[in-house]
Amino acid sequence: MQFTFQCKKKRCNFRNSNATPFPICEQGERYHGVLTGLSVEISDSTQSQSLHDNGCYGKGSKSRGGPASGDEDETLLLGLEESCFLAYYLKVLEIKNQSGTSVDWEGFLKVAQDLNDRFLENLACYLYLKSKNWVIKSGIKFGGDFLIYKQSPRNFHASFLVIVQTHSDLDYYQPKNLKGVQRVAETSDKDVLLLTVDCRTVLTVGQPKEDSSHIATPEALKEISVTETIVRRFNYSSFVQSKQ
Amino acid sequence: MSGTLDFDAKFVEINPTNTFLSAEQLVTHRHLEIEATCGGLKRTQNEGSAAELEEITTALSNLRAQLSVPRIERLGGRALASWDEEQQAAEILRKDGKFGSFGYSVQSKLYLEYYEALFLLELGRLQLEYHDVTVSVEQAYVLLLGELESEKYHNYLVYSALSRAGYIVVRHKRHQPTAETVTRADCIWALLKEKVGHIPTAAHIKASPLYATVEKSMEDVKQFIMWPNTEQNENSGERIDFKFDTRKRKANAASRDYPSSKKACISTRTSLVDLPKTEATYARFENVFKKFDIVQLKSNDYPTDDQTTPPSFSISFDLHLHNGGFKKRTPKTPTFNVMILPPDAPFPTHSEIAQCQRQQLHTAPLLVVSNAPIVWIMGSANSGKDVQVQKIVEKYGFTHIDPNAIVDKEIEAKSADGKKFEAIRKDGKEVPLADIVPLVEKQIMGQRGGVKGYLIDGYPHNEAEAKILEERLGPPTMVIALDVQGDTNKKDSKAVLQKYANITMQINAERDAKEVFEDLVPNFETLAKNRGPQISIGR
Repeated sequence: MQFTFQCKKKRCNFRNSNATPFPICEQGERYHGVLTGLSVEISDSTQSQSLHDNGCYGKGSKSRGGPASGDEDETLLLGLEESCFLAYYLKVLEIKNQSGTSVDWEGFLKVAQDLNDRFLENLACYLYLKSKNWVIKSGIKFGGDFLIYKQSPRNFHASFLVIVQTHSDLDYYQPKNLKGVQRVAETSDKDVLLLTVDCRTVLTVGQPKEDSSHIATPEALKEISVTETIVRRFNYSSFVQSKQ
Repeated sequence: MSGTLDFDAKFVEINPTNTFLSAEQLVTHRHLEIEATCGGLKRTQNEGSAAELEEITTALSNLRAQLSVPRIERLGGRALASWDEEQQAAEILRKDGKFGSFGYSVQSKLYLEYYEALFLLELGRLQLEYHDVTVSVEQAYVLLLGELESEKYHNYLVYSALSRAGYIVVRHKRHQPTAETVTRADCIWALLKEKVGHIPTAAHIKASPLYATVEKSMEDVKQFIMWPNTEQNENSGERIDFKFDTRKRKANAASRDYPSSKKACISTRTSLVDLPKTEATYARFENVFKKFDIVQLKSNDYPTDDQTTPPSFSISFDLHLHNGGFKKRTPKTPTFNVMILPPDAPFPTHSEIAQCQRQQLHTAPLLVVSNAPIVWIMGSANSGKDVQVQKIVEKYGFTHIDPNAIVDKEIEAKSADGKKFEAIRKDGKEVPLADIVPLVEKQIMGQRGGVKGYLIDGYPHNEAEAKILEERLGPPTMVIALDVQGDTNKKDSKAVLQKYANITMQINAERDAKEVFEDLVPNFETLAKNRGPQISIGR
């Protein structure tokens, strides 16, 4: 039985043929963002528009999706994972803190891990999915970590609700607890994708979080591996009736 | 008085012990619904008003009425079976109607599995007897599923739910690749039957590469018996043997290759969500994508020809569809395989499912079994055992089971068992373990749910006790022996330690309690991580 999943198309004729999955910057130019402590803010409106058009990064501070309100003071808010990806993997974004000095990988990691102690796991999953050409958005409205879209959220509905699992919370995801998430996802035609992150080689248990010397570079994440599990509910009584 | 009664009543009234219901009564009984009238707002707080009180009393009386509806049993049209304790199956004594997918036969006797028997009993299709006494449904639950909580309960619940939904549910049989191969003896028997009894040879025997050689050698033997002087036969016999050997090897290799084509469809190496890679944009920016493709899918692939190691999850049932042409004797590929997961077990991962399926040749699991580890801790009274036990319980949340404490408690409670134990102790003897075990079981069963493991303290003392513990509570996951000088019971416990040598830890206890505990920690860490699925509690 080969596994297939839905990519439901949205009813809209919006097409942007020039869209690329990555923001392209002209020679030497980089996007500028300010790390506010919760997210990275892009205040320049042309920059934020281009970031959102090419790969659907970020969310407008006054709109549901990309910056669309037309207000002068609307900014683009980038999540921690995506700003980290743009800054240290694609190297198209320069992150500064509020006092104006630029933030390097280690400094960013420290801030992000203070905010979310599972940041490294989330980042690993973000990279894993991004390398497969998914558009990744926050999954908080469906009770998960990420929502992943084909092409763009403007053209397609999300195909998966992604839940990032670490080895410490494996016990939590028993069938009983998964069912709730699964039903929420099912009502909106999504599947639940569990990504179990194995980063024991990077983060050994005893090591304090502050000590980040073992992940000194963005490339250190290659030690991490993930396992995929897709959970679906099977209605046994309607199946047998449909076969009779 | 009685004389006048006889005189008055012209018709003698007969009151049968079994009452029979008319058709109308049966119909009304079937559609009997006792429910409180609902309406109005939901009450969220206790008001203490008269209306509320009345509502509670009607709800209670409704519940009572619902529970006290007499059960209607069907007396006719029932098959008769008797429970066979040894086989753990119900032997059918009288059949009624078609049995369809139920039962299996051994030596021309038809048996029902425990779940099948209970299911038919609940449907009113079966009358079950045990030692010539008819068993009620309540008694059958205890008799067939056992007094203790076990996987049998889960199996039965799953079985009855799926059967009622309209599936044919049969016990899962692990695929055995060697079962199909035709041995030399099979060919000889088939040939003899054909020659002597004129029974045509089955196609699969004829197809075997051995068939031709066996036929040839039989011809030769026949010739040898008829004309014994020809020398040629000896040579041919040898040649045939040689041929037989090579061909046999070939046949084996072929049978091992057989599943490979189907195995290939389940792989844990490729991602399930690779689809967007096929888009045009991916091809355009492949270099960029490749640059940050650093987090990899973990592929812990088991060796593909691994047919021998048992899977970590076991499949309990196979599901077939009614219109799928199911035959009991020659079951086809099932529509589904069913795994039963206990309530708080983690969901099996993709690779675990893939491994399980590789050994099956076919598809679709649903639900599986894991239990808490059992650790025996042994050591004499001065070995500092209590301190260690306390530390383990504190750190790992194991449930401490001290048979001696249980005995003390029983004696204090002055229960029937307690009085017996007191008498034994008065004689200066130790209470036999066989008497304590039921109480231990009771304690274990009372504590299910969220149990990390069991720590059995101070037992077993000797091999006989080890056997009792293993039989009743399941084999130990780990045995800890705390050694001190001058242990008087050393000889007995040594036998136990030898029996479980591969899971035993002997620890020199003549040290600081802290040091001893540090020796224990790594073992418990691993126990906590891999909750052994092979251990089961109860029978």
